Amino acid sequence: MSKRQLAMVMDLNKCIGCQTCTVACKTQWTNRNGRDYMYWNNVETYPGQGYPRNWQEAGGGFDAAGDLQPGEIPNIEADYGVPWDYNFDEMRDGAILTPQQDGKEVQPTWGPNWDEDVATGDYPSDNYFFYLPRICNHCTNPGCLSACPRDAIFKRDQDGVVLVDLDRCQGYRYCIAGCPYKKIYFNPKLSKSEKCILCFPRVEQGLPPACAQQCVGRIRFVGFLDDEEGQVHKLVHKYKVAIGLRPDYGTQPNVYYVPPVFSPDKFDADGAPIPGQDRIPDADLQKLFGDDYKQAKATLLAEHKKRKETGESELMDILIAFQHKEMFRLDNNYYQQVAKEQGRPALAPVDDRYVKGKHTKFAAHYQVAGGGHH
Amino acid sequence: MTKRLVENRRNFLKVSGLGAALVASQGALFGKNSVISIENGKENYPNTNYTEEMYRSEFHYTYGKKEEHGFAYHCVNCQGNCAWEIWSHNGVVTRENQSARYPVINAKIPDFNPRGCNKGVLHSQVMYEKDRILYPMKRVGERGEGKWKRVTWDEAGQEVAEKLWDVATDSERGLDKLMVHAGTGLLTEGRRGGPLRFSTQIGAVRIYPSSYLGDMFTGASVAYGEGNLGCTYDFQYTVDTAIMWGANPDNTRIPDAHFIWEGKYNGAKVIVITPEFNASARHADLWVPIKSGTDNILAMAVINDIIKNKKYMTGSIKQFSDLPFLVREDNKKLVRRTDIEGHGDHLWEEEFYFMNKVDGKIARAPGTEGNKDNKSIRLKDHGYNIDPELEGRWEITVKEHGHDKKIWVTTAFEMLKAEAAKFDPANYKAMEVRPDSKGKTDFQKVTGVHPSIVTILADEFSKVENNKVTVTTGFALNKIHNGVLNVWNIASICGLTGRYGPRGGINTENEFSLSGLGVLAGFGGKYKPRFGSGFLGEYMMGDMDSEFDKYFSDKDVERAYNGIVKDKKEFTEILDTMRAGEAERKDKDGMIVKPYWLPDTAIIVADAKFRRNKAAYNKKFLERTKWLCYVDYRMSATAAMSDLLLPAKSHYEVWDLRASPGYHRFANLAQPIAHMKPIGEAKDEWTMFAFLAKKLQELSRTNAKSNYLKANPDAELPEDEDELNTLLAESGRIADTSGLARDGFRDFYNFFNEYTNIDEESEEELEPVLGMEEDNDKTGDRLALEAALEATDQFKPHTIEKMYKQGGFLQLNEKAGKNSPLYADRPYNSLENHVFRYERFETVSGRQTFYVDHDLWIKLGANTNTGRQGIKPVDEKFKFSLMTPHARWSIHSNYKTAKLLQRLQRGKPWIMVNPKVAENIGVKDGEDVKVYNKLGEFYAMAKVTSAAPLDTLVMEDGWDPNFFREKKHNNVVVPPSLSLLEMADGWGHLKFGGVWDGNQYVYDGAVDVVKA
Repeated sequence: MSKRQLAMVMDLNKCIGCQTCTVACKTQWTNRNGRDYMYWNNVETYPGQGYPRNWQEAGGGFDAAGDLQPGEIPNIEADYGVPWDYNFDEMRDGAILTPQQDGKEVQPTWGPNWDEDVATGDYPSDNYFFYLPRICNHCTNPGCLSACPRDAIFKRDQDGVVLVDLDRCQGYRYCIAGCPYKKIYFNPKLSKSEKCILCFPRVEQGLPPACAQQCVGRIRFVGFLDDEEGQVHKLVHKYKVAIGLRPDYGTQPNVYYVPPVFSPDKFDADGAPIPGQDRIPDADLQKLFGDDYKQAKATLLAEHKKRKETGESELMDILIAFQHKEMFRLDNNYYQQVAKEQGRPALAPVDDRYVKGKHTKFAAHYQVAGGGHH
Repeated sequence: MTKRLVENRRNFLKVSGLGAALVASQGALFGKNSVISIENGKENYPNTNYTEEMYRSEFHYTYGKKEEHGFAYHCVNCQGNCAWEIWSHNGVVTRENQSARYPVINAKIPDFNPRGCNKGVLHSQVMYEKDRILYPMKRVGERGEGKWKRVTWDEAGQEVAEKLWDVATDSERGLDKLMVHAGTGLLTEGRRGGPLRFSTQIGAVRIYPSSYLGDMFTGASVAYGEGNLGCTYDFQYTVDTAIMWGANPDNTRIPDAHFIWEGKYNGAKVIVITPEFNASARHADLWVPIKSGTDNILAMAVINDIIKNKKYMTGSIKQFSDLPFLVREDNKKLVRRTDIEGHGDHLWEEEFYFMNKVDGKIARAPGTEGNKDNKSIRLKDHGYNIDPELEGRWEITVKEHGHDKKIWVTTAFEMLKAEAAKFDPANYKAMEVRPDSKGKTDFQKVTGVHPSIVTILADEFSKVENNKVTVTTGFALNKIHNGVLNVWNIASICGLTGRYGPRGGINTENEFSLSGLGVLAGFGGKYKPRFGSGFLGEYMMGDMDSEFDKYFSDKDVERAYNGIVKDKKEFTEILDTMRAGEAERKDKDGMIVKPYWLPDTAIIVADAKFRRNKAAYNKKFLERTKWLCYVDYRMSATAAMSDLLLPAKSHYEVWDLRASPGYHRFANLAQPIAHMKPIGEAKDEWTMFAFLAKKLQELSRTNAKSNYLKANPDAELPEDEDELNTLLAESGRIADTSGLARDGFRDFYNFFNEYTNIDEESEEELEPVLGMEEDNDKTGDRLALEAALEATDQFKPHTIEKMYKQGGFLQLNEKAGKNSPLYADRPYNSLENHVFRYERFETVSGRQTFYVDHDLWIKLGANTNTGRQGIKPVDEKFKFSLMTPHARWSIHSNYKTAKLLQRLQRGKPWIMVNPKVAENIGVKDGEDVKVYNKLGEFYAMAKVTSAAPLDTLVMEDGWDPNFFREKKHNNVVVPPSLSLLEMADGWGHLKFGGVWDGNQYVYDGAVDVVKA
């Protein structure tokens, strides 16, 4: 088992679907080199077909007995969406801008955010949707890792980040079938698989993952699961309001979600609001988060009520997140120590705002060696 | 991990779709000395280094050197003003990442980090895209044909100078025919000053963007004398109730939306009033599915509920509004001092009266425009002891033609009460109801709103437990024919319930005070530009009268004016009295009207003219415009139609500063990355316009010399430069009215000297050198930035270096508060100075305005708040409204074409269609539809969603015409019009200027939709 696990919590009540995270990830990693069609971070509208299309029906993961399940490899045009280009250089000639692939005009048929804001239900009485941002879950029991016939996928000891060994990967793509979240991709230029790397090069140098730090809705917390002072630990283990996605897949994901429990009142046949009749069905939350959603929802609503009535609630304080920089606890001293142990040069962090953690108490007087583990 | 049979693996793998023949390209790197045996990849993996080092190198490449990083923002009318740190490698921008270093204002309120959005986060990808304009280009074929010739800057500058000289010296044309204008693609205090300075100096026409975009909060201008007011967004966290009326912050206030949802966690109630079910509605407490354009009627119903059930705040109304002002029942005019005392001082025209409960006599109101000695509206102290009556009617004596006359008067409050009663949902009678509308009452059929919601809203504003209630009014509310009533009525709801300052109130768009920026483009009053009406100017330029006449019927006009204006003929007659003629400020009766010009020569910077205007306008504009020079960094439909294209630097290549508006209290720095490799021959706008100024000066001097020699063939020109200049200077002067040019002329002979402040007068006044300094490697934009930092009180004490060190921004000091103090530790909300210090409002009454007795407003029944149905046709065939709200995926047309963003949508223009509608017309999601009416048609891909109403199609704004099939833009189905209410001018504080103009309307058309 990995010694420590870096984890992320996303609060679906605050997500505004702006896709800044998606584009931040894209400019950090996937705007080049065969990765264009990959969205290591994507945001889907739920209920919806998601990205890749119908990924929740594409197999992979484990059954209750722990056996790896058969899976599908999605298709670029039908499931991922072709990353079309545009004839920008013809704009000066007054040409019409059209989506292109290999210099020819194409008619788009699918994309990574195709059903954005496509609501379920009827206008106006019960229509609804919410946003579901997804990255690789850096599972404790990854489907991709188990599926790989060459065992070319590994989980880092220091923080549980799951990586494809690009040295040993031969491009068999069993991993893509094996991941139930379809968050690992085949790179046709490298003939190898690639996936979200939890921005570990940023993290090691004190910068949170791009999708998290740059999230404008301020919905993401990043920290080690064993960091009891951190929000990730509190939301997952203390308050138990943060739950992994599709726990029934058996991979033990380490990206957690605070379920969306707020939505406007429904309307009756006359158009009058029906108080207390929220639009997001429990069945949706059950499907996405399993039975644990019930307790999470109850806690959230109770704490919210308490806040309204008394002005107090630690849980609400955590989710509000007064200071952006406090949302990320990257424990930089720890990473410096790991680098030393691995015989790598310990690079100073490029940013000192997010260094706090179990082994790093003081942001101000930063030290390379030592930390808090005496 | 247990060993598995190879066969199981084969069965396990299912491949769908195309098989790919792929080449393993990394052969050489796979050389190994021994077999690696892995037991369990979950721990102690022996070969982590290869992959980890690869990704680390990638990160190092993009991150580059921290000390080479720049800062920037993308101020293109999103108004977000977000600080971004720009990464680079070897002089090439690689990526941006939010700076996120804004300090905490209050520990108990979320901070302003990180800011940014999906557009700003990819400017690095767009600035190097293939649509970049790299060098000056001159059109050589027909307009729009796409034939260009690259020219040098010298050649381009020469042409600009010649065109400017020609128009200025042509006795039939003159400066009236010249436009030099910067649009919303360039909204920074620093760089925007460049073209604006040029425009002011030369006396060119320019128009106010807010007006032509339909973004002007005219209703707020009526109420408060100020269109832009509200709060910094952290204030939204502190409220009891946040109402988003016609606003969708999750889409269009992305950097600040989090405050609303964090406020909700804190206990706030959030209400979203929008026709479509959008991202903000999805997590609100209450969503109100109002029908587009009927907001003023809903607001009237709320006003009625508040007045009828006495939910109003009496003390606040008496103190801060003109509702107690006495109104003559005979002619509905406010009682003025001229009525009481006869004609004396002209100021008496703007003095008004209360009926004083204290002594039963009429009392002159303090703090009015005519009585602002103490500038205070205090009703006790300063010699006043007034308790104004709110209700009642009285007989008083006025002077008329020298004689005493008894008349009956009542209060504006009584007038409002009577008008509001017509909008009680139980008995509201609409002018016209669509036959298929749902609901038991006219009110619900017209607005789509159930009557119980009226009570909910009235209670939210008025209940005592709600300490703070904000109502954020979206820009969409201004974009319909009667839009001025939308925001005016909402402002009145706030006024009735005492929502100001600490109690919340209206939030259109907060602005801070910035004094000193006149140093860049102001010219200290020596020169003024020809500042024209935006909406009227574009309307006249495009001959929109014919489109109006073609599209609307007499019935539409009758409906929009509640039967008071019966038909188009009467409408146009009234309109014509307010359109005196090109460049006129007064009509034949001396009434002040809105000025407009019809230029034929234009230099336009960053304005997607052909995107935001109707197709008929574009055609007319091109006919009228002899020469169009366009300045931008990327190609667009507007750029493609120009005659001369000049390449501009984009946001990451410049020195600049952005302060306004006031969603937060910071000003952001733009500083290029170190050792930046220039992109093409792009110039920043200051350097560019200084260069053009130089060219104009040189041409003027050349012309002056040759003209002199022609007139004096035997003369010998002095050798001494100063003597020569003195001799020739006069022939380089272009006469202009003294109202616009202090000395009666524009000095083309010394144009560059004046532009850069190296002329004698500027040097004496110690004006900063601007534009460019030839012996210094600072570009013009840098000089402007330094000048702005030096001159603006609210920026002190900051230098560029200090801003850089802090993370690319500065915090405005306490001088920035416009009408409230800017507390160091609390969010800002407007109007505290009025409620705590009793300072008068910048209105004719000195108070919040509920009564406008402009003759036309009285005639049209809008002397009090009222409600009007739309001018949009009620048509059997054309049953749909077309809404094009501000977008999530662009800022107007900025970033609309970014391929990374298009890939996250549908790749081409898309339009939301309700599933029931789609079924009726046989359309599936992803298929194209045709949307059309009498004016034209366009095509878009259907996005079938029950987020869309049954009677409305919803599309984002900002699509470039070049994106559409046959270049038919969605604006082609949008009819133009001019609102009579917004055209009215010259009343009290409603005088043409930055606070009072009209809006171009976008939502007045009715369309039909079919499968394409």
